[in-house]
Amino acid sequence: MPHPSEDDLALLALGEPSDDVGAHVGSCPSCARELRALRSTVDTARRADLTDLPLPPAAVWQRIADELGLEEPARARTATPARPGRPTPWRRPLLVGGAALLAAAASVVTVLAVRGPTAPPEVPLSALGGSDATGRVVLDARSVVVETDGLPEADGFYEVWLLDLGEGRMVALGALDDTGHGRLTVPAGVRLDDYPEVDVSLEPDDGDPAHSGDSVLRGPLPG
Amino acid sequence: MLRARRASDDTDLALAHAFAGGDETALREAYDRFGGLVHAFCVRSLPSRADAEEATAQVFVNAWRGRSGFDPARGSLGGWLLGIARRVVADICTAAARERALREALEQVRPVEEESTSPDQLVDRLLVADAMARLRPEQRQAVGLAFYDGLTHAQVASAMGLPLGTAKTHIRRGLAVLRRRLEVDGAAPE
Repeated sequence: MPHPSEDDLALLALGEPSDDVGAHVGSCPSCARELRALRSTVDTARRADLTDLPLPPAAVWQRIADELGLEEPARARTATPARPGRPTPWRRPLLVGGAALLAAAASVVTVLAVRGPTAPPEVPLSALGGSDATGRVVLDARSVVVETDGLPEADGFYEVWLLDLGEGRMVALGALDDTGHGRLTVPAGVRLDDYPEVDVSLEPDDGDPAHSGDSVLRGPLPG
Repeated sequence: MLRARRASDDTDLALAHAFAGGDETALREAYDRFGGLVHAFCVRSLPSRADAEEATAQVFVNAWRGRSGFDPARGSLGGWLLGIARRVVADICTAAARERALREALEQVRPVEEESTSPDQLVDRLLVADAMARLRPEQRQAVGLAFYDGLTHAQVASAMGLPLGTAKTHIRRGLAVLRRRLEVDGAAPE
C-alpha cells in the first residue's frame, strides 16, 4: 500500500481504526514516526485543561506599568480590547475521559441545536479579565439578547458592544439591567456582518462614552 | 510534511520583533496576547492567587528588562515568556519551601502533597489550550468534537453539516497547528 494521506494518518492518531493504514504504518518507519508525533500531540491535547486563559486582574498590569515606569500611551489599557482571535464559538468540554461521555452527548446536542433551522443560535460568552461570570448571546432578528450570570457588583454599569477587533471598530448597544439581562436593538444602518463579536464591558459612570477597555465577557455574534 | 502556517503566526512574529526592539506599546500587546497564558501557568503552579498575580507581574517586568536577551529568530515570544515564568515560579517555590520547612520544623506540620503534573506537562497543556483558542472556528469545533467527544470524522461531519472530506481536513489541519505549536514552544522533548 502507498503512504496513507495526512488526513488518514491524523484520524488514526485520534484512534479511528483503519486496517489499511494500520498495516502500512506497521511496516513503514517514516509513517510510524509521523504517527507517534501526532499521537503525542493528541495525548497532550486530551489532557489539556481547556478553560479559557483570561488575563489576570487589572492590578497586575498596573504593577508592571508602575514597576517599569511606563509612559502613556503604553500604560493605558487599550480601548480596543486586545487578544484578537479569541472568539470561542466552540464551548470546550472541560472533562476528558469516561466522565466526559455525558458532556459529550450534551455538546453534540448543542451543536445540532445551534445548527438546526428553527432555534435561534445561542452562543456562549467567555469570561475575560479574571472574571468568573458566564453569559450567552442570541441574535433575534435585529435584537442582541444577552443573558449573564455571576457578574460582580461594581461601581458603574455593564455595557454591551458589537466588536470588530480586526478593524478596531465597535458599536455600543446599551446596558444590561440589574439582573444581568439585556435585549438590545441593533441601530438601523449597522451591518451585523461587519461585527464578528459581542463584548460586555464594565463602564464607570464617568460620562465618557468610549469603551473602558475593561471587558468582562466576549464571544462571537451568532450568525 | 507540510506544516500549517497561520496569520496568527505572522502577528506573533511581528509582535516579537516590536518587543525586542523596545517598543513600549509592544509590551502592552505582549501582555494582552500572552498574559492569560503566563497567568494560567502561575495560577496552576502556585498555591495562592496573590502569589500568582505577583509572579505574572514579575514575569513581564523581567521580560521587559531582559528583552535584549530575546532573539525572535531563535524562539517565539510566548515560549520565551513561559521560560521566564518557570524561573520566577521556581524561585517563589524555593523560597516558599524554605519557609515551609522552617514552619514544619517549628510546628511539625505535615508536608503538603506534591503536585503531580510536572512544569513541562503544564506548559504543553497550556500551549495547546492557547493554540486551540486561536484555531479557526470551524477547525476548533471539528477538533473539539474529535478530540474531546470522541466522535469519528463521519460523526463530526454529520454534527457540523459538512462533507466527509471537509471534516477530515479540518481535523488534520487543526491537529497540525497544535503539533506545530508544541514543537515550537513546547517543553517536552519529542
